[in-house]
Amino acid sequence: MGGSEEIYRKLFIESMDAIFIGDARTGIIIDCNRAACELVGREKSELVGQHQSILHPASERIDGTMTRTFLQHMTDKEGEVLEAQVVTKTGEIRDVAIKANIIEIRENLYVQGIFRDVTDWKRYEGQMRALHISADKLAVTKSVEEIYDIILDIIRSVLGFEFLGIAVREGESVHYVKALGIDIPPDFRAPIDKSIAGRAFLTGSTQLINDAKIDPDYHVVEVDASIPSMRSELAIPIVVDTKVELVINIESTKLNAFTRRDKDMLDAFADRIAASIKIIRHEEELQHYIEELMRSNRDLDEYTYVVSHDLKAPLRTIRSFSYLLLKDLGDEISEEGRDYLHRIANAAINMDALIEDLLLLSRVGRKFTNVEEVDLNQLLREIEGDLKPIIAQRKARVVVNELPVVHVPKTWMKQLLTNLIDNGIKFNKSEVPTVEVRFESRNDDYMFAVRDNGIGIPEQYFDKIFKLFERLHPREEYEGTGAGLAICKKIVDYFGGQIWFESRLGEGSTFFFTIPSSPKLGEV
Amino acid sequence: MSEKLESSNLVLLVEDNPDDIIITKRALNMGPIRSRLCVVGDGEEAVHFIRKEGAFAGVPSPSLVLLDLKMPKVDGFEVLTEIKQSENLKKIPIIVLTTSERDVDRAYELGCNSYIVKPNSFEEFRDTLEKILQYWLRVSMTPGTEIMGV
Repeated sequence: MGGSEEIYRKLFIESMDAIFIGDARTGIIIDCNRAACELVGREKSELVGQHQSILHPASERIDGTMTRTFLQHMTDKEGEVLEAQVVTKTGEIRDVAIKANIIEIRENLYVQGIFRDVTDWKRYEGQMRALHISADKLAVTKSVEEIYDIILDIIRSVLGFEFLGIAVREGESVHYVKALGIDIPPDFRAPIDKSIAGRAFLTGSTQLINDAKIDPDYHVVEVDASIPSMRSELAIPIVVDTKVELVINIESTKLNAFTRRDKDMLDAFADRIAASIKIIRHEEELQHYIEELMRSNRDLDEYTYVVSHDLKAPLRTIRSFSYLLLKDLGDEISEEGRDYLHRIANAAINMDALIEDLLLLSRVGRKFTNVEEVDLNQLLREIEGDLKPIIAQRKARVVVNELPVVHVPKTWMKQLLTNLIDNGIKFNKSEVPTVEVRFESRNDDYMFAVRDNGIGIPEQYFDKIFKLFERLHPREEYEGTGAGLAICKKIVDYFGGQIWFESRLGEGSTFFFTIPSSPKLGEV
Repeated sequence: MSEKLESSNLVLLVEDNPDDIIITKRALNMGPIRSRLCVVGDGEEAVHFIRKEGAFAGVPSPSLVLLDLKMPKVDGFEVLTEIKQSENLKKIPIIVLTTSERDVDRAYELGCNSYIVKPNSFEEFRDTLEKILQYWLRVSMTPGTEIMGV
């Protein structure tokens, strides 16, 4: 059976798992195989005859003699996999999973421990965890700068390295915007065609270098002679819409420091970063357009304002001098001449009204915008007071049902209702022009209706109604500038509501508008 | 009321628009309150006038200044700043007469005594000016008014 024993011996020595055999009572190592020697970085002669506690870091020892796992295996955990740590001759700590059993041979008790190195598994497990955490962090970033910090944080937590940098491309060179481990001077540039990070930029694919010294593109950062030379390198490109935005460069002084699994993990990480950068870019672009739009709206309002005032000065001159002319020379001018002077004055008055409306329109959302608690019943009484002349003149009736208290800028709410009621009375040929105001409380808003028994709106004008200075009737028949409903629309838009109407020619119109129950005043 | 007191009702109009100068003159003449009107065409002249400098040496102090804001060279805001920061001159009432309501806060911050937006029709403008004079030259006392017959 000598041959058979040799086979068993060989199986023991060549086993991929590290196997230690020790005396169960004393804990002295009796034998171990090759994998066991490799695991702790010692010769067999350095192990046999030593106490098993030599295998473990001090943290694993109990009472200064036996280790935690050894004692557990000796008692109730026989055969179970226990997680522990071993220490190599050079002091490196490695994670292991140990399975041990007690064997009795000729009244002697032996312990056989099978050790499996799980350091890399642990590392990948940590990496997966970190990757999940990074997803949460990336989801709430607002700037690319923040993303840089997340990259550094995450990689620092999952990989060992001597240098970690985030590089951007500047023409034909690579420039580090962030660096850990080695201080890179701000003016340092690496040539894009003669560096491993550069190759990641040019190819768009991850560079996993096991021995940088033999890589033709290895670029030595000649900063300081004291900086150790790097042997392993991992350069991961962040590709956004086919463009390499960044390269994450990780370097180590050890050979084979990074594994294929490290690369796979970081590639997945890179995809997430790319997605976040893309979202941030889109948001920035959108924000830019919004600001542009707001600015041009403000400019337009400002322009309207300035132009209106400049236009009003000459009108005052026209009105004043036609008045003075009539006053001074009225008797000497022919009737025709006086008629012309009146026409001049009236044209100026009309233009004044147009400009006033333009001004009003430019002011919606700019002035008097304090939100107040407005009792609409009270407000309607005020409006009826203001409209007294036209109500009396037309023998009109304004019917107001019980209205709510709302939170809006009062000036604009008043303007809105005044315009609608005034229109209802003005564009009306009924014997008793009647305007009724009522409201309905809905889920998220109030809906108001202003109904009249007026002339109604011809269908072909339906889409022109809210446009500025669109007049449907000759000035001689109905006064006004044609700005009233445009102002109404701008006010309702500003309140964040909607405005529309229903109308039947000869029967009347109803204008509806909504205001949100909790209004968010927008830019108009 | 004596003629001497009336003649001290000097109103300084600071206005660059010749049309508005004529209109203001006419409007003031129609009112019941007699006043003397002096006109300067820009802010720089206004400051010289009020300080009685150069060509304006020896002019009487105005009882009231009607000030336009938009003017070439030195505008109305600068006039307000100059006059209202001067210990000797800040007591002179300055009424801003302008076309827009938007400068109202700034004008009061600089110390104007009243801010009036010019009405569009001549009649309203005339009435407004009459009210201004009625208040500032009759109802209200201004510094330096000669007290007669005491």
